[in-house]
Amino acid sequence: MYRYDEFDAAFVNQRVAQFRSQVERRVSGELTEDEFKPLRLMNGLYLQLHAYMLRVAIPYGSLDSRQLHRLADVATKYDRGYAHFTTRQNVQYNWPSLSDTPDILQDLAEVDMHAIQTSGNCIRNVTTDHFAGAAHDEVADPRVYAEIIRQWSSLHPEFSFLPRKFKIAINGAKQDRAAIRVHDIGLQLVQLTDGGVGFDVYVGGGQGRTPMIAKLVAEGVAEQDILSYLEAVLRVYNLYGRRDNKYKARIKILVHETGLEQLKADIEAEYAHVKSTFLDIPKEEIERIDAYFAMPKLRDASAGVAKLAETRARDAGFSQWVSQNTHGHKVSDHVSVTVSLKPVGGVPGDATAEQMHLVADLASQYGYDEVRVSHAQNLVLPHVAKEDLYAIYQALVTVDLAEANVGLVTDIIACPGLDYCALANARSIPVAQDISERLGAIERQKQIGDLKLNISGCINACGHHHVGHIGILGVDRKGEELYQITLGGSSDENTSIGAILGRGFPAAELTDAIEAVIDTYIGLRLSDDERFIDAYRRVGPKPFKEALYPSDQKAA
Amino acid sequence: MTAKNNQHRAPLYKDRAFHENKWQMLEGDQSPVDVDRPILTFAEAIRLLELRANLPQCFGVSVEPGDDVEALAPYLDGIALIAISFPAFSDGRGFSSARLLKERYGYKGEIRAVGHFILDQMPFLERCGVDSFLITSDKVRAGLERGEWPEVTNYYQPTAHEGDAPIASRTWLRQRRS
Repeated sequence: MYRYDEFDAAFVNQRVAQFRSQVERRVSGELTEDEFKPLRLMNGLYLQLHAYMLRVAIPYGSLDSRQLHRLADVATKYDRGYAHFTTRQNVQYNWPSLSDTPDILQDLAEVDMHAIQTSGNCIRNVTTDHFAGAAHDEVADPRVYAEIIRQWSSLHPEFSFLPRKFKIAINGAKQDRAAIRVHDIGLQLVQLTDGGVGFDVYVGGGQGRTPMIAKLVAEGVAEQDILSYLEAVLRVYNLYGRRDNKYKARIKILVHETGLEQLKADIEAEYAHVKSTFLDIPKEEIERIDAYFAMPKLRDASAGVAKLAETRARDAGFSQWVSQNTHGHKVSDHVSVTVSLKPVGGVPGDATAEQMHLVADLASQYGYDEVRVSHAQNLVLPHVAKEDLYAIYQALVTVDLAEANVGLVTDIIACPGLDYCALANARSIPVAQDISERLGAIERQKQIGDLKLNISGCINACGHHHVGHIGILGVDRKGEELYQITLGGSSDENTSIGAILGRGFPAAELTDAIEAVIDTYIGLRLSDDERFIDAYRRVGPKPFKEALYPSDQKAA
Repeated sequence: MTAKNNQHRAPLYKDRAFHENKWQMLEGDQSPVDVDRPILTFAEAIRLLELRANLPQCFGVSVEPGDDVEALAPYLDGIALIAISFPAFSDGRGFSSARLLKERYGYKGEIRAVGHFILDQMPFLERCGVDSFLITSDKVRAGLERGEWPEVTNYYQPTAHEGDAPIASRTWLRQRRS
């Protein structure tokens, strides 16, 4: 884990003091809401439907137990006893009072946390693989570069008033678990021919109302040059990105309208100027930061591996949880554990203070003091000895966090929707809960197999519906909440954007429609091992259309 | 009274103090040689510079968002002032224009921010190379009169700004030189 030194701590403390003064001026009436808005947005403070919402940054989703305990304390002290983990690996508090927000940020600053650039038209929290540093298929640890980019992008004097928000994701493994191709910039760590580490750079991905897959613009940019390259991309975007229409202001539109070859040339020309000026990352700085992310000294737990098999044979629920919620580790007697924040019928991504405290305790007792937030809105203990899994499982059961559903149909990504969000057209949470309850029996989930179901309450796509194998999009039609279904989306190394199947369904009919899609898939898959996404890619939308809109087929 | 006259009467903020603004935008068909310290529009300046037309000793050029400052690069030695315009605080192109002029094209004259910037942007603008600010907002003026300069003085980005000092422990980062 990166730990602040005096420089970093002073930086965040100054920012808190600055924000406190801004809030005081707003509370006293000196600043109008219009004048306060750009200032609060630079510190993650939104005005939602019913209240302010504070979005706190969890840089690249990495926490230690002290920080997670503090997030729980903030929920208890200033909010309603829970918090919401987001697809950008951040955490949101839904009910803070405006006058408390400087104190919240002060409490967070004590544990090296902040809300800088969690909103506004600036470079947002850099996200990465939730198994970073632990995964068995990793080229290099992306957190080192995510931290370097976090620092470079923090209060950047030139890039704090971009045409629109800007999101960067880094993946260090062979499998893409950071959804890099649906980010403004996606960085893929690669081994260079000289033995060093570098990046393939993808630009112009994104979701929202115009979903696009990022294009490869550079291969093998060396690690010491990566900030120069990013600065070149950001400068081209800042100067040439559209500012006349906020819906056309993301860099994906610039890529689309300028054309890939021209934009690549523009970036290359800018990079040639920027390279070797100020931003070469000193080797010592990379090494300094790398040291913070060294693998903890894992204890030898090979003797306990046999015991795990015995326990699994005795406890079927535990065995299912191990199958579904653990992931291969660099060291064979360890695994990474995903703690599902998707209890059947629950609110995806929400955690109570009690649950957060318990996960923090498990991290300090068994998990080498590390916790991650995944972009699928779950928590992860990246380093766990196999022999400790049963104790962890039993503890999770006591706080309803032992759902064995990671990667299954009830592991739903959902935005807060119309229950909280001022932009939403429709509710997301009750829809997620209803589907989860209908399909929640573990036998049913195992029958369905790997399936990503993502729900957004509006076209802004915070619930990533475009890249769900099944996506649900809430729309408003003359005052009625309707839900469109998209199929075939994916955010991994074979990224694809889902296609709308047909007209939307009212909430009361939606779960039936989803179940019809799933039963259609089960009926046509070649074997139990053919995943939904693979089957869909093989057969296309036709059988699903026939199942959902039978009368249309007759008419046609 | 026209808006431009208003601008002319607006105070200038430079080196942490208020000053009288002595520059004015050229109006209508005025000739630059008839006005003391005129600021020409970007297109007019480029046109006259390319024609090697008769220009006063001391003149300025206005840069709007969308103007490519590279076009001024061959003429920078002769330009006393470049006024970067902010039609809205949310339009951040001027930040890049300022840095390019100072860092890439080596402009040694005065860069001035004009228009709808907010107080909280001024420290950022200064680090991008802006030397002075024409203060047309009462709110900004009131804040400056109270001595506010809302800046986080530890910087994670090395730039060419002369007010930056390396710090001992992590030499590639910067701090405001006190």
